[in-house]
Amino acid sequence: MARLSAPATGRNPSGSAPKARGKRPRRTLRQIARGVRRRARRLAGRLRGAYRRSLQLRVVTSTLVISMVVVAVLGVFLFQSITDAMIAGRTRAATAEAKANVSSVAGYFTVSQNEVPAKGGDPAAAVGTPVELAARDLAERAGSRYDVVILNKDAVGQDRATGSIDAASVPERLRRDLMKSGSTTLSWRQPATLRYLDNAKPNQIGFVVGSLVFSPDGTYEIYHLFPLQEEEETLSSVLQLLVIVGAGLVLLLAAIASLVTRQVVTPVRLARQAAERLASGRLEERLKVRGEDDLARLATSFNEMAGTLALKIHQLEELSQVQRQFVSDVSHELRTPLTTVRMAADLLYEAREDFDPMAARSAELMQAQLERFESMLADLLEISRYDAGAATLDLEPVDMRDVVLRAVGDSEALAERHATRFELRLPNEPCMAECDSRRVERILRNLLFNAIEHGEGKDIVVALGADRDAVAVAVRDHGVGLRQGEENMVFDRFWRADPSRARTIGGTGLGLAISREDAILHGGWLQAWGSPGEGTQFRLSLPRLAGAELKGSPLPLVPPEVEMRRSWRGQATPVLSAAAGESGVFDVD
Amino acid sequence: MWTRRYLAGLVALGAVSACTIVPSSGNPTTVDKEDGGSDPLSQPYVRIIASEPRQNATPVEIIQGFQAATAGFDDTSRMIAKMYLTPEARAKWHPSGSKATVCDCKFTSPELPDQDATELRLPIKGKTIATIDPEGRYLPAPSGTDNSVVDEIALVKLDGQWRISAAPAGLLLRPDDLSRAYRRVTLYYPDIEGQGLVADRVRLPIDPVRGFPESLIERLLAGPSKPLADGVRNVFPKGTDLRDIRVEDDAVVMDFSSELARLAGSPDRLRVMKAQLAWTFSAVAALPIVVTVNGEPFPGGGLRFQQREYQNFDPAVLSPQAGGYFVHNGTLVKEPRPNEEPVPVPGAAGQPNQAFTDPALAELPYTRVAALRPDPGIWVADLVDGSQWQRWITAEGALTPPSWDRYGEVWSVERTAPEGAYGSRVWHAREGRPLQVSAPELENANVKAFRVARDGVRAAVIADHGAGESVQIGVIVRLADYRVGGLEELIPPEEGRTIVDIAWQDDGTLLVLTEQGKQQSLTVYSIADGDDPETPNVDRRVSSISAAPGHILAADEDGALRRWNGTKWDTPIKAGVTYVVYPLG
Repeated sequence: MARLSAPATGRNPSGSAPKARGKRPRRTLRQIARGVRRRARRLAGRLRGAYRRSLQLRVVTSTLVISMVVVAVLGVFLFQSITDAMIAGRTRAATAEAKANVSSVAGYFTVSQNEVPAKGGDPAAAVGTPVELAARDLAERAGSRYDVVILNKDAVGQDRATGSIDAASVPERLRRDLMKSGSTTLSWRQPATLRYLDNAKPNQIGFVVGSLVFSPDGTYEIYHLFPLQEEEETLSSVLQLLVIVGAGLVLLLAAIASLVTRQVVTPVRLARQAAERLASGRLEERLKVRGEDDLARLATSFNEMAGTLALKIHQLEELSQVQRQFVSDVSHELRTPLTTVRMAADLLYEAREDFDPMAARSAELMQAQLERFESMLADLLEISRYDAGAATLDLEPVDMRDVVLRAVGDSEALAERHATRFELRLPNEPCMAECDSRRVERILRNLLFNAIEHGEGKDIVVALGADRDAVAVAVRDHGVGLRQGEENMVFDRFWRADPSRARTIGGTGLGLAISREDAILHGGWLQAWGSPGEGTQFRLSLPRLAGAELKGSPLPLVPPEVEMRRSWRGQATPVLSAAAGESGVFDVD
Repeated sequence: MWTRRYLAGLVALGAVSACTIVPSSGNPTTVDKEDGGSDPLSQPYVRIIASEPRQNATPVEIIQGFQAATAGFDDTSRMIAKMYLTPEARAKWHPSGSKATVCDCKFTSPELPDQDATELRLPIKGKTIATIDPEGRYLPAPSGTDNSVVDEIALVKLDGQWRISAAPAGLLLRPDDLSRAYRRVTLYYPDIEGQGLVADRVRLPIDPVRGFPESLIERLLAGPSKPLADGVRNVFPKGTDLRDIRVEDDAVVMDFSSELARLAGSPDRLRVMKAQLAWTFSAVAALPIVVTVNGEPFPGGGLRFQQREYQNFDPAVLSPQAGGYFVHNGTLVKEPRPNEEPVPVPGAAGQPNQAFTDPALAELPYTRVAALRPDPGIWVADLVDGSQWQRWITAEGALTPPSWDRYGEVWSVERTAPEGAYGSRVWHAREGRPLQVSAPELENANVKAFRVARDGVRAAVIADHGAGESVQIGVIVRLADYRVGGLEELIPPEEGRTIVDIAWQDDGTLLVLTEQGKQQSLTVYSIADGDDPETPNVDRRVSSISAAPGHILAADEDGALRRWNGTKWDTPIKAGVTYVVYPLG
């Protein structure tokens, strides 16, 4: 396409091009070509996509291709056999006629032209020379169906032709072969183009049959020139008909295929849409069942499946409801006896100095475990409130720096016990956000306790970030870190990184789960990042305005120094970085 | 799956349709020659293929090759024939425009030329059969005279090859060439008054490039041949050209140039033009004719007509069914139908014992008889009851028997010279008023008979200029003054032969009764082609003859009426018949 348009654009530069270029930059040939290629590629891509997506298109295309091949093969075969039959029949009949003609006029040539008695008077009735009589006879027989040429190399003035045929239509090779054979019984045949004098008629395709006749005046060559114009015309109209019928047939087949696939594809498409809706949670979605065919049965099965699924889900929901209720009830029920037990235990604990050491130690243990039991029960109650959807926010604008500082202050004691220091990275200006400060504080506390517990005494970095829409707090420890895939499991209830490890701080195992529920309640995110040997970072992101949708976080989830190290490694020593990534021992810090 | 079904369907279709393609029964139909799918305009013909002179050809072969090349009409300028000539001879030889000679010539060398001869003269031996003038008129060589060709062809050797240095003027054709390369055609031109057509028989060379129909119509446009041209018209406007001729929807479409559109204003001329085309083209095919001008329909409504619409333009005038008359016991009687008694005609001529001889009859516009009577002059009587003889022409000298033309005028020739001398004067009379007609060629001849042909244009004359009686054909020119001219000899005078009577059979055929030494012979002459070999012979001496298309009536010496119906003579009346006559002619 681009090549075709080349001369048109290529001719311009001499005259009007500069002017045109001054007004509007003319696109160069290469740009046009590129544009065309781009458009073609886009179109091809769209087609490919449509082809991949549409079953109907695929079926129709393959039907088209296959039926085209079949119709073409059949058509060629049919046409070939028609042509053969027609041409062969015509050739046979014509050759037989030529032979009969030659044998019937051969009788004229038994006398020499010089022996013909001369006759005066009316010349119309004159007895002619042999060649004259033969030519007249042949012309009568031929009519306008074919032409005859009589040639004689041995005598002068004995060449005749009928009609307006050009004697040069007789191929030289046929003459040569005929003369060489020198036999009167053998005829020769050759396809040729029949030409006419001064184009009295248009040239025609045909064939020439040559025979020899001996006479006292020498050897006469008699050529019959048969046109095959009629056959040619008939065959070309047959060909046209075949092409039209074939094209029609192919299109018809494609249309049929399209129709049939539509009948199959439409219910399948409906089923797909229904399944999609089902997947998105609309369990009441059902298919219409029409008839009793395979597709109807598919719809029935689909509906049954959806029904069963809905039922199971309902049952599970109910079961889960019962369990939650049970947990909630149990927690409530345990509180009353626990209060009594607590009061008794307090008494015992206060009077422990009066007990023998064994009993005193038991009282201390009981006191400690009771506290833990109490907090566990509180957490359980809290989480069951979430499950029941009873948790509510007590929103107020607060400065997040204060919240962070309060949480850090609450954790100071524990940190000292673990010989851990906090490193705070807080902004100078206030970071106001609408939130329930009690809950956010609880989240941060949980994160800090968690960091202290797994921080192995190393520094804990607490960073606060803010932008126009959101605030974020990141808590980073340098402990053992998390393994691949544990980033989400840490928020599961009662999940432990290493089941064999004892809880040193005495967490309930529900802290992070509650924290996440809190974050979600705020419309925020609580995410974890961890890498073995590099520690862990938890990031809490909250919208500044309650109810606003969170689009991004002001702080990165992956600590910047880790990110930088990774990219630096990847650029500097790609070979080494692979090894380092695997072993995790290569540390630049 | 689809394709397999489709295949199976095809196979089934093939199996079903294989049985009944060709009908195995049906009604019988006639088969024409046209049913061969042939073009009605193309008729088979044979051409000679001219070939160039061969290397080292003998002088005889050179002449034969030259003769064959001249007989080929593939190339009208005859380039190949010219290759047989020396450059000088080539410059002088102009075949087109000069007459062609038909002779049964033989080209044989009396003795072989010497090996180192450079010049040779070969005599042409043979008899001239006819000549064809450039207009295509065939003029048979008069029989009985010395027609041997006395000419020779000179050859010289050029670069070791024999070439003709002096070629005979014009074309030299052999009878074979004539019948192969020419076609007899009849062109039809209207007489001056546009009442009927006159046939002009010419030979038309077959032009393989243009085709016969095109050549024919173009020849028609070119106009009538020489002597006839003065007596007829050509209604085609000057410069009219045939642009194309073809068959379309079972009709012949003739496309002429725009000059023809001038005829649109004159319906009479248009009618005559259509008659001309219809009659001329009837030789090719009996198809309706459509005339177009420049590819458009003829102005004022398309022109499409059938040939049979113009039957009344028949140049023969008399139909084959026309009845004859005869004089029986001195009364003019109409030829009876079979099994009927002859009835005398009404009027003066039908009265018993009328003294008249040599009657002539006209049926149109009035039925009249003209005859010679004992009183000198030409007498005319209407064939109505109570009519009387009226003298139309009065002359001092003896008058030839009267002859009517189609316009109701009676013709006769008066002898003006005394016995032993030669001189004549031609008369014609209309409604009793005689007028003299100028006929310069007859002024010094004695005329024995003057018969106007039924087409009204040609006249046959038995004239004696002193060398003996000959039959001549002339043309009547009907301008302000009538004139008889263009006389051409049909039968030359012969020693000891007298010509008893002549009678027109149709427009182109003349019956001639000759007598030589008490031996009578009846010959049918075609005025265009010479004598017809199939002449009906009579076994008795005949005193009066008359003819119509397909029929001859004769009165023999015994007074018997003899009738020839095309195959045999019969004798309906045995005695008392003195003259026989068909209307006109």
